[in-house]
Amino acid sequence: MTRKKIVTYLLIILTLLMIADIKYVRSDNNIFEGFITESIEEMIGMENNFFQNDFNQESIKAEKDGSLKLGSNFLNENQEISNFILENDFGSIELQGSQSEEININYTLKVHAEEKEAAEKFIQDLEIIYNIKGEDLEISLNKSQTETPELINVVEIAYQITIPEKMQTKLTNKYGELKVQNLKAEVNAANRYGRTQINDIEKAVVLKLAYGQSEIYNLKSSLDLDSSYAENTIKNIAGRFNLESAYGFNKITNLESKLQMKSRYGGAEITSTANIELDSRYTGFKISEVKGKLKADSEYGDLRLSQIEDLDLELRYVDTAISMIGDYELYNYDLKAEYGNIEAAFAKDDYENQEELKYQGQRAEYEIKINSEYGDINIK
Amino acid sequence: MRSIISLLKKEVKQLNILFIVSILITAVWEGFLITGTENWPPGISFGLGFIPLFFLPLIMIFMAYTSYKSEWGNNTIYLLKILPRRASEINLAKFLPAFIYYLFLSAAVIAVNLYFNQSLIIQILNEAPELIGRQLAKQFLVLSYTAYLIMGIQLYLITQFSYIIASFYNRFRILISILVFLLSHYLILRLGGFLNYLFNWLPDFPAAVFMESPAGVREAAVYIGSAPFMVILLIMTGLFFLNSRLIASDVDV
Repeated sequence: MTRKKIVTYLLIILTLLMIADIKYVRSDNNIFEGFITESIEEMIGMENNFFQNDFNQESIKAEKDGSLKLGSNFLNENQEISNFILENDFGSIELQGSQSEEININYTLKVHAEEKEAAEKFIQDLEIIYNIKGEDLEISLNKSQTETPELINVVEIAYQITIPEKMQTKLTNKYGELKVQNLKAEVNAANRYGRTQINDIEKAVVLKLAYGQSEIYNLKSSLDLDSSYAENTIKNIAGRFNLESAYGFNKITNLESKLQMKSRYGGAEITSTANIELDSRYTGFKISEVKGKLKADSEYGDLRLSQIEDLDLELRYVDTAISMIGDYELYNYDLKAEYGNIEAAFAKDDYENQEELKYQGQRAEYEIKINSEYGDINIK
Repeated sequence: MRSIISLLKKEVKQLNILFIVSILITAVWEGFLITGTENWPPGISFGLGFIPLFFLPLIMIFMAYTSYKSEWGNNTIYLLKILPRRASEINLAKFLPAFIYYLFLSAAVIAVNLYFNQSLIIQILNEAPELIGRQLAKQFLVLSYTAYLIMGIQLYLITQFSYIIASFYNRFRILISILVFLLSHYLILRLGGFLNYLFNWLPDFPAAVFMESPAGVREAAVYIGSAPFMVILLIMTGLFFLNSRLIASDVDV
């Protein structure tokens, strides 16, 4: 048999084998399987748990309740105290203001450990203590929550706290719920990997949230919120609102003062607000009922606007749709769309496929100015 | 050694137009992205900067396919076969310029893009979850680039093999080349699964991953199996010598 014939038969046989193998065998034994070691299999099994709490009820080996009371005498003796400071590396904080001049802290300690015996021994010495540093009253565990002896993994603490309503707070929490309510003083709080609720606060609130959901409402003063990978519902804010958001969604309703928002990736639904100033990249917005001026510098995303007054938009790669504009004669229009189309369906005239549109409303009260590159403008 | 160098010079001479044109096009493209796209979003010019990396494997396929085809075209295949050189030396002289070109041009494209987009990379790293930091990015870059280089070598040798097999026939050479090309990939994928067992004893490559839990951030190592690298290395070495052998003694001219 010639070499050519041997090669031909080989090619035919191998081709048939390949077809049969792909169609019927469907084995996953291939060269890439060799990359998968036990440690990678474990990692795949963890799925998205890299940033999550993998401690649970089963890993709690010892538990203890306790309380710390600092009555009116204590506060009278230490009148310089004006800040309540608490950092909880794992657990929850529920804090509320009260008219009485005392601090009540009820807590539950849970020790996550490898062995019950070690955990029970370790928990005996644990308690919540306080430390006064100038104006600050610092509350903490008498040992580290995370740097623990062998066989002990971590200490989880659930706090239930009542403080005088005029006391300022600085709270940091991780892997659990943070709830702060009924205070007439400034609140500075941070929460990571957990749900957050902040409500009925009379003074300025500064929040830093990551990876979780939050509900923030009934604030009588300003709100500064730095949020990443979080879903926030915010309503009834009387003071100015500064929001920095990355990779999250924000639902905002009923703002009495200016909203200043910087957003990177994500989305926002904003209803019933005063002036808005947006600086966004890769963010989609649905905005309605704006009493005032909406100013935006946006790249990538889309804007869905309705019931607006003044607009001043600088857009790149953003499609804009404005609906429910009402009486179009109430507005002066100065629209430019470089590398995009303008479509405006006014009562009398239809403007379609325009790159530039200027129109003076007969009873103009508001200005709509949009400068868009690589995006369409659609007014209905 | 001198003989290899003279063979290398000949190959480089043959390929120099392709090298110069492709390097110039890549340089002009990267230059345009660096200087002429100030108003473009930085992410776009950064992404487009890597486009040459998609064409380089195609150029490898082209160079491999024409490595011996050109010898037939120039009627130099007779001379090549009677040269008093080992077949592997001749094949190495064909492979080395192509691989060095692939290695340097791809490295240059990556380096230029990383250098001129540092601020964007820092911004991306800052916006990514905290624990996916620089170390993971570096590991990802090294692993991806290694895989990219292996892919280039594999494409070259398999394409060369496909052409040599097709040259046994007088007709349908392109079709036969495509069939052999597909079959070779399939065989490497499938046989590699069995050959992996031979190299399971080799130490695996550690890679760091970070996990955050209430107990703090901890660095853990995952291990990437090394067997496939050895299998591919073995198969590619085998294929290199098989190509050399086929061209020296089995292909009729």
